[in-house]
Amino acid sequence: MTSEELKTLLNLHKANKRKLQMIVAALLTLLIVSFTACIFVGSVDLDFKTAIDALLGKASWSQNQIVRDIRTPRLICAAVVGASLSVAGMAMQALFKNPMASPSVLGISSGASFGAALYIAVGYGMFQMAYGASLCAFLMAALTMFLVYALAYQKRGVNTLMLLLAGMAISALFSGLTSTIEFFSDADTVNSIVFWMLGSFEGSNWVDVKVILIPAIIGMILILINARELNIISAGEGKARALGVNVKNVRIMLLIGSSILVASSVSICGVISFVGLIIPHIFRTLGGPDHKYLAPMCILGGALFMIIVDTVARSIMPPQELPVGVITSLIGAPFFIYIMRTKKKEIWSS
Amino acid sequence: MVHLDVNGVRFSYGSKKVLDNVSFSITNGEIVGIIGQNGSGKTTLLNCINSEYRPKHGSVVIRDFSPDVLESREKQNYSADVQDLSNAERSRIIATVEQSSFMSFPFSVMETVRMGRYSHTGMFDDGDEEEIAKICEVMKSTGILKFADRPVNELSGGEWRRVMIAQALAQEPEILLLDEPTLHLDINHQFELMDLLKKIVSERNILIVIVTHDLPLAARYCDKIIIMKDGKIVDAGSAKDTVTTANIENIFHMRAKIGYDQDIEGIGVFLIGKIDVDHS
Repeated sequence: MTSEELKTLLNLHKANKRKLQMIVAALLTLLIVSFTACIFVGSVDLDFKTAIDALLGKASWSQNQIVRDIRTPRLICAAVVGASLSVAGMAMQALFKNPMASPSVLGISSGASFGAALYIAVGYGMFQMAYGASLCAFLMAALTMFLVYALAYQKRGVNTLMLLLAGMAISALFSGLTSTIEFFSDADTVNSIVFWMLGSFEGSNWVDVKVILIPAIIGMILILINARELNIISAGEGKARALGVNVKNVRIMLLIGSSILVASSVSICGVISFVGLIIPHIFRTLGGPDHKYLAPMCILGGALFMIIVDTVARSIMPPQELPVGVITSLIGAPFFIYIMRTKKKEIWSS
Repeated sequence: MVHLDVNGVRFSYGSKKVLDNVSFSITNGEIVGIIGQNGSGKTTLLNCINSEYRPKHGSVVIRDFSPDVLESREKQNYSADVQDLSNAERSRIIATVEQSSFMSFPFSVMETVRMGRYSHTGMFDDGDEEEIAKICEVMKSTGILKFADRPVNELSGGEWRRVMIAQALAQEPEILLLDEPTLHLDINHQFELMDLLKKIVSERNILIVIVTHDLPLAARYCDKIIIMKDGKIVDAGSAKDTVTTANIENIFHMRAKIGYDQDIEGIGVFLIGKIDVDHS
């Protein structure tokens, strides 16, 4: 072998790596800039100096309150939820070997919100515990995930039609169940359940940040440590096994990791659709499917997307707020159709 | 030196017997062809060898593999039933090129080949020079270097097959299994691929097992041939001894002219026509 060939290949590898690292760095910068910028935006106008003072607690009481206890925790929640849903969507797409898979499309979000509703309506009266709604949401998310997986996974791999139909059926089932709970509940309970269904960061506070941060980190770690395995598993589980991947362990880690991420997101802001579909797709197109870089891109890009969308949602027609889930659905549904049309070959040939 | 022993393997799908007491023993440095008609159990046998399927009876044992493949060096005995090896250990001994495979996402050729290094590298390895050199070597020998950065979903059937072989070679296996490697390739690419396998055997001194129903190709390229029918081995030996007019008539129900051919420097198989078999 001539060293010339090796050099070319090494350069190719390095150039690709550098490009991906650049994208990650750019996303990180953009995220920090947008996060800071979005603190200034809202129904109460703040100039730069006031905002900084408020952040340090030196402005008036109400200004302090707005910046430190309303906008900042809300932005953190939006960022973490965006990151969680995107990276969970990414993991599910690799696991199901299908770019159409995402928490909302497969009904995982509906399952999680049913779990939360069940706890609010029934469980709360029986046993009160911290994170009760989140825990129920997680259990239902995990259950739904395994259910969809079992329904769609056949000997020869995942059948797209089965996957989407299973997701649709399960989504309808859990929405129906949640509506049933609503029907039999009193007005107060209904109000808090509707909140889970709509998808909004209105009223997100530091308690929500506490609720979501640790599960989100655990979920992301479970997915990040399996980045290499995600690459291989997306080529088929039989292939992955032949290449030496411990498929059973990886599968369990990924299913649990994504369930945790979806459930913790749903438990603080309800169902926000299509984020897990759009973000991974954009970055897969931009930087290729290598999950080692795709995962951090989805985390940063998802966070960036969500804080921008949420800022739009709360400032587009002040003082009213548009639920953020409405906006993501309005963007996401056409996007879903677009992928379905353009990726016909990849989706249906398996 | 690596030996593959198949000992009395039986396998069935439900009540349908697919493999019935299959036994043979083969060694590295050869291309072994398993031939037979559709439904004769060839692919099932391959899947029993690579441990994808667990035989109902019997065992598949690999002897004298390199000690480096094992996770714990305490095992002093370098012979193991394939079912007892971990996925990672087994993937360092056996590589399989499946009949058809599919990528859901557009990885580049190079990334795809690099997946073959999975069980040799750790979580934080990110393509150091040594690893890339290994990939470069297998990509060169399979002739896919020139499209290293092409996405795999833009390749032709023949190119894709070579990428899969490069990925398998990147595993540095001692046994390479291929299921119908020439299927869906045009004649030119069929020969190119078989020449490549021949080259791999002589360069790496590994054991290659191919499953095929292409008699002329098997007769030309395989050092040993195992003929299967209805889940049983009906004949095995060198190509000269097994690819005979009688065997082809009895097993494949075809009339054929067979003989040493000077032009191809090997056994030429000329298929004449079908023999009508009386099934009563």
